[in-house]
Amino acid sequence: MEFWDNIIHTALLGTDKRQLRLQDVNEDLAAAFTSINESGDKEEQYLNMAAVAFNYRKCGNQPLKKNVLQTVAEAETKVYCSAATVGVLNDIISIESQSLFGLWIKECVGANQIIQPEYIPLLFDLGMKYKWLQQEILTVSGNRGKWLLPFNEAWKFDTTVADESLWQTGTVEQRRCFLKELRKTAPAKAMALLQQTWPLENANTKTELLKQLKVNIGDEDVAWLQQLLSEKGQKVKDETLVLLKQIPISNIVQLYWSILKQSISIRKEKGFLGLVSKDVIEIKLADIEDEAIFKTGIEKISSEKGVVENDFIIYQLIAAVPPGLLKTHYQLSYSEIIERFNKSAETKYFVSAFGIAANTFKDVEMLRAVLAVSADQFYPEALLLLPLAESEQYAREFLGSQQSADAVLHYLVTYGKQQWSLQITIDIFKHTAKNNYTYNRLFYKHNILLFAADVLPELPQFAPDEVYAKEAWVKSSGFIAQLINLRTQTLKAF
Amino acid sequence: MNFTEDQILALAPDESSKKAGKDLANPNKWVSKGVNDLAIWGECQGSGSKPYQTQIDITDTAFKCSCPSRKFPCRHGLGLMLLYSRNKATFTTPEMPAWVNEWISKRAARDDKKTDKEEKPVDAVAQAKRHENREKKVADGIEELLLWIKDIVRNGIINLPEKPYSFWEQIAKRMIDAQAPGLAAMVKALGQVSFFKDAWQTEFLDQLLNIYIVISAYKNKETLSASLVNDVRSSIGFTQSQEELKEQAGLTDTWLVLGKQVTEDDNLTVEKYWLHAAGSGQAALILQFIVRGQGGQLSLTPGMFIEATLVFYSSAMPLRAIIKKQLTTAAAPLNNVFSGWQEISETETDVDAKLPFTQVKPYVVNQVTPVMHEKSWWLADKNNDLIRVNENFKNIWKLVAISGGKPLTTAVVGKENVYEPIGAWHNETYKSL
Repeated sequence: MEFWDNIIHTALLGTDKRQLRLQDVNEDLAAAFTSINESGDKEEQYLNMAAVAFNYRKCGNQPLKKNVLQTVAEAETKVYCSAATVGVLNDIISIESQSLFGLWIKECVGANQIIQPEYIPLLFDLGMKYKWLQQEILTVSGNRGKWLLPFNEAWKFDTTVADESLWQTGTVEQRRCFLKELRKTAPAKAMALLQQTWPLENANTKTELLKQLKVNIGDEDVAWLQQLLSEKGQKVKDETLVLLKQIPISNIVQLYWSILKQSISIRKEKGFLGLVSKDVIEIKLADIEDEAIFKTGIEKISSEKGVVENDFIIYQLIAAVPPGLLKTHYQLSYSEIIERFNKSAETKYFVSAFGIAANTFKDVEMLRAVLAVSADQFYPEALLLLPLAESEQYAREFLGSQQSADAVLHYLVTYGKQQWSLQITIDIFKHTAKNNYTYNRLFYKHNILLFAADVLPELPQFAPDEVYAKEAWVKSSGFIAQLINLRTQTLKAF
Repeated sequence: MNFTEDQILALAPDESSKKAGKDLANPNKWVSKGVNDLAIWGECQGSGSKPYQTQIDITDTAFKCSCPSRKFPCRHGLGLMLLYSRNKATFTTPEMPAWVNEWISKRAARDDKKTDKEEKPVDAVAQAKRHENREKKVADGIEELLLWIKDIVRNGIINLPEKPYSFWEQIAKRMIDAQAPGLAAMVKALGQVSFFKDAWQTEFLDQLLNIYIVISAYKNKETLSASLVNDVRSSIGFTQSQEELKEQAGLTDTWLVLGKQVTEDDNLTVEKYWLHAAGSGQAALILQFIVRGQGGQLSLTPGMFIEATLVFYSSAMPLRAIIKKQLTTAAAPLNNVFSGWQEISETETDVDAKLPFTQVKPYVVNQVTPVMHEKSWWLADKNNDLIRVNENFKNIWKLVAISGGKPLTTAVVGKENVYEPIGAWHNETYKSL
């Protein structure tokens, strides 16, 4: 539209500098131009001509003629979820609970259903926010979603299929994730893959990949890992040591044990005319011939005031040795070992080291022995190691105390994997109701999957006495009820 | 009443009302609830001792609630409607309580009363004087505006993007003083042109020429037809009496609400409802102006069908209308949809020839497919004619997802070669965009 460009060009410069000429307009407009230029000032002439050209342009508008090829999405093979189910999803999205959103998506995947096409863009937008749900979101979007995804560059979904070729061709992050998943299901195969490509990896990648071996670590990994201690990179060596320290038969653990057993002796001593005997623990750090152990993570000086250097070294050795070795060596049960250490003020210090060892070597029996004598100290690891009912019972003992409740609750939500019992949910809400500044909507939204559903009728009874806190709880409990209802509806919907 | 959740939520005046309405769509919040052919009602327990009484007239979708909220509809109305759409079976009481009966009866009697209203005597002389004064003020204002436009044209538009807000504001205020609010809004829109865009010059000049055509037409109104003069006067800001309009017979048809567009400016919310008559194919624009703090009276939601009589404002190409009488009704098949862009282009040419300063219009176009061409979205019809989708259209991905690469009958609003989709039919259901 050359004539329109000339109209614009004149407008940009102004009629003082440029005026429309007959050759600026096309043949159709020439007669109008001549007629308009017969009267009025130059601005009026321009405006009249531009107005005619404007109308001429609009009336002559034609659509663009172009055959643009458009691909078509494949037909769906799965069924759509119901309108009511989508209604639940809309409610979940509007209260912005990522936990409930994740639940809805996973339930939809589990039910082998897909979502109606108009909601797919919304789910893809949320997939950019909740990246860990991308694969599931893509699944519930069906064939329409697969077709739609490439059109929008803002939807950067990882659509790579996690197969063995990914190990050869993927990015470090993709390979890390692949190894992590493989290690869970086929640990030996994961190890074999890593060994194959090990010489080709750089130090940073080696470190990242080694970290994935923590899961299912075992005796069969020792030989190869011990070779890695001669690697050049310090980070690789450090990560290897972390792994070896978790395997009882590794050289490093055995070295610690050999020093430890020389440093602790438990013997019986006769007393009171030989009629009674008592156990005596003697703790004295054995001579350490090889200073190299201090390069394996054993420190000489404690950050805690008043702790003797040698005691601190022994403490670390106890924490790094499988409790089972002491049991066999001293021919004592775990309870007997802990009881003896717990008896005197000098040896009590070491009890918590057994707790650390129990956690490292997943020794539940030793953990129970430690917990039995540690009523005033909270061991977060217990929440992971103990069976659910027992760990909840343990946590409840500390939830009642204002001092420890926040820390316990922190670990409960951090480690929480499955729904809590009614009892502990009640204890938790008793605490959160009193602390509405710390435990706000964000806390409830984030942890909704952990709360027992049958706590609903109990909620009003947790209202604190103070007027303001009481009002705040009324609002919070209403919100909790809404979240629990949405969870129930989600579970029922599929 | 068979509204989908999306349709109900589209009635909400703002996002917080939507959220609050969803919270109240919970059976535990309602002390009582019922439904019959005329109304839905319920009592919602709020923070006070007495529950709020909420009622919905389902024959023409009107709300009433005893809560103190000035929003319309309030959260209780939305919550009750949502609850009904989710759990119809729980609305078991068909007998209207006295408070519902009273309101419904009053509504029924209201229309009759209106017709009986006695007209106040009009002082014809004073009225003529007022009209004369206004015409003079407008004419003076138009002369000033013309000078201002000529100054712009003389100096060139190249430096306009650097002009301060006051440059546009001052002349807009002058037009208000001249009692030409329509021109004031048009001038204000000049200052709101997207000067950062490449093609701002055309956008600006189009708007400037629209103003110029309107004021030129006003100056030459003696040569124009009566209906075109009404268009010119409406553009300047003269109003047509709604009471007088309601005296006219109007056009009765089954109307589909194609879409709702909302703009906010200072304290005024303007709601545009685009309607399409299922039988005659006539398009209509219903405007609702809501001053902050007050509720609107219209409760239309995209995808809703109404059996209604619409009276159109006098115009060379009637589009803007008011609803004289309205009843909610079931879906009806749509006639007179456009076969493709060529037909729309011809219609536009016809409209522009009769009304050269028209604004956007709605069209329902048969079987168009969203396609990507030169990094923009277009709508392609079956003849491979393409029209560009407005680049500011937010829901393009929703439309593309619904389409799946296949053609859809689509409702659009726009002009010339840029259109914005407002809804599309998918699996025989109208989906608002």
